[in-house]
Amino acid sequence: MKFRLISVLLGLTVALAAIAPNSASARDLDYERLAESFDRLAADPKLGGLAPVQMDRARAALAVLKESNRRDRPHLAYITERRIAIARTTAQAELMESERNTLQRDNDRLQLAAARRDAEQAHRELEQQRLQAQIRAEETERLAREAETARAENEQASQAAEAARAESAQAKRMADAQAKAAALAKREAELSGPAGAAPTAAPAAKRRMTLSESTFVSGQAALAPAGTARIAGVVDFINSAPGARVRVQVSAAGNGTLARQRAEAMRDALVASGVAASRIETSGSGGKSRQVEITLDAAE
Amino acid sequence: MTSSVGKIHALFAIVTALLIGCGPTKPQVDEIGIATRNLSTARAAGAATYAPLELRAAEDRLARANAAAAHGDEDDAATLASESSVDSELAAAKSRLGKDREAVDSLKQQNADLSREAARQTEGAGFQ
Repeated sequence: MKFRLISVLLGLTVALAAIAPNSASARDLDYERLAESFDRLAADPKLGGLAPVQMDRARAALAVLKESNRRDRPHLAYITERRIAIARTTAQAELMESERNTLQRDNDRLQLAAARRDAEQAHRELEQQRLQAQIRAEETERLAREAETARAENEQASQAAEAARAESAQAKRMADAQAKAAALAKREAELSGPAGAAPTAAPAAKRRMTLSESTFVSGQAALAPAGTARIAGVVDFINSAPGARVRVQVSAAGNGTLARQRAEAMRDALVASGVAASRIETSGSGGKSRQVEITLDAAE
Repeated sequence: MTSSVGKIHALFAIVTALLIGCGPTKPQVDEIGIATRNLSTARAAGAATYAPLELRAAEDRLARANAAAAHGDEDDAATLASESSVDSELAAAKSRLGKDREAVDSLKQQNADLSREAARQTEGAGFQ
């Protein structure tokens, strides 16, 4: 009976001994799986040194799991598994952030280079526009110069035309003045001719013509313009009696020499107008009257 | 007088006993608080997009923890809440990793485009 009791107790002890290692090995299996996972992460060449805070928490969870009783094990295993996953994910995120920073630096550098190229491009375009504007300005200036030249030429031409007009008007005025002077002289000759000659010419069978002293330049022997203008009338008078002798008598108050010179000037003018010099005889006297008498002697 | 003083003493004793009795529940309430905060943090980090499985696990465990607490099962509540907390922490970590990965991919693409553009312009500059 006593032996039986002892054998039962022994059997129980053996059974318990058999169960206990089983239980311990199951606990170790969970723990070892997670410990291995943690060690792999810690030894990872890239992730190993990262996420130190989360690694510490995972390590702590693993330690708690190792010391846990059977009841809490599933819960603590879950917590530990999550803690290791959090540590791994955080390490991966840190690695990714480091890559992100490197890429961001590259990006900044590339953006800067692109901005610099854009600025250079803009500068080139600006320069090109400046050149084009300069070309346009030069073209405009050239056109303006041409227009100015054309305008100046035009003005010069119109000035010349104006000058020509003025000249022709002047010429016309001169011609008019000359014509007027001639007409006046002719009229004076006509008036003085008959008026001066008529009373004396009548008894002398209209063979005498008298001209006033204004025939000559005052105090000189030369013919005045009025005198020259009268020559034609005198020639007509002489020609009315072809072949008759012509006597030119000039009297000048108190100056016989001047009178003679004036008579010779009259003769020269008549000769110049076609009257034969052989027909003309001249005489001058210092008498009171101041006139020219042309007498035709029809006796011959 | 003596009787009422004794009643007051008795009341103090009861209150003290209650306080001591409720003492151990304090950490359990904190576990739920921590789990709730961690869940908010995970959601704010974009866990719905980047870690939907972990987020759902955290929500599920927190709901069960609250239910357990409502039934007065403080130990279960604390266990579930602490599990929900690590679910939320993992969800937040995965969200951070997901965002970093997206940023890295985007930068790689941008840099490749910029490099290509730089090469093209350098080539083009030779002709100008």
